Amino acid sequence: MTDPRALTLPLAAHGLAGSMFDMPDGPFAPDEWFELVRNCRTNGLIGMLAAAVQRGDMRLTPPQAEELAVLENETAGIALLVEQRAARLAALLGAADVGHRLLGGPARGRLGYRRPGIRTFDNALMLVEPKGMEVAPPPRGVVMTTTLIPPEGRPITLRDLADPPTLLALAEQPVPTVSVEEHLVLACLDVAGSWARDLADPRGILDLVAQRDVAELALFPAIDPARVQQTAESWGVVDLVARAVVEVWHLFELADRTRLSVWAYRMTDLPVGGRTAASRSNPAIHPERRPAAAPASATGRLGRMVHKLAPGRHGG
Amino acid sequence: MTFDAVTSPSTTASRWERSADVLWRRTAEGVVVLPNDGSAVVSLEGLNAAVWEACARPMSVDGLADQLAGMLPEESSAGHRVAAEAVRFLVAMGAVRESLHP
Repeated sequence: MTDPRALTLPLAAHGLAGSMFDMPDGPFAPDEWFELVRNCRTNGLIGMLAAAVQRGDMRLTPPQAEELAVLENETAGIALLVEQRAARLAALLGAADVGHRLLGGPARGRLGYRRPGIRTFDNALMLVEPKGMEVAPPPRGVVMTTTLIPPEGRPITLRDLADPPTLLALAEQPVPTVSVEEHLVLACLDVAGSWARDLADPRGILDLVAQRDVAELALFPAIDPARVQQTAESWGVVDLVARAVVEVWHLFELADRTRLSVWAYRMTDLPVGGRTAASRSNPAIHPERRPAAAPASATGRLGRMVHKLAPGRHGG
Repeated sequence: MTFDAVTSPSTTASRWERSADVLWRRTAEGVVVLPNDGSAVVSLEGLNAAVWEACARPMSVDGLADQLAGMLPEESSAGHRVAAEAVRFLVAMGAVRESLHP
């Protein structure tokens, strides 16, 4: 019987250039399927599971395929509702002349993923000027804050972000977000945050989606490695970013070397293909050692990150 | 114009395109769409998804019937009717609109 937890990592790596994980064929016994679906929902991997099946890399029984189609549509619908609410909030903030940037899944998926549909999410993060907290209550599914607190480095506010912003078109409405390079640095900070959570709670859930975000953004064809480095330097998180990139390269067994990955390995004093201390202790690499994780939503993952944010109003 | 006019003889020259104010995502089976002013997410699969994909640029019903012939009844008028029904459905959902471009 295949350990469904061992499938989670190959699914998170599925479709990444240069990553070579073996995907079990399926179809799956009922218990295996139940566990697989549960783990995919927990880790935000339903879109990637559907993509693996669509490409013929995984076979399902007709009932399993039907269940997956329903789940994928439901997950995609939630993502659209989050985007709709984020766009409406952005319109309100814009009308009130409040600076803001849409962060998190919607922007990372649409800007950084070659196949945005596989990046699912059930929340978004809106970074705003302090006066923005009084403009409108955040809608459900959108977290609003004025400050990001990384695991190391200094707090990040709107003033630390590139201006003018990158504009993301949501239903033809331009929504300000950060550059691809800033998204990559923020994704690296999410990965670094998951290390701390792993140490604090070994039964916790590894943030595979954040790691996939790092891989997708780092492999984004037009990314400017110099701007990534400059952003990391100005935010005081160079070490974290380099370690996160090395971690992700190792976790997903990425064979491609890029200017960014070479820089990251240099910064961590590791040979290409080497591992950081964080990745050596990373249970995702040895999923058989990881106890079954308790179900938690993607909101839960973001919720843990938000605990580190400066006080602000959160979506309900 | 309302979607009821899709199959009206006087509108055979009409062209149809994706509504601009719609959020959408591709799925393994098709597309999921949400009009920006709506609250109902609609999953499009099969012919409806194919018509929506084709409407990335303005398309007449005749053009859609030609392009998607493999998914439509062989008999021409029946194929045209089914394509028009798909357009009508998508217009009703707010996913497609009559193109302003001639």
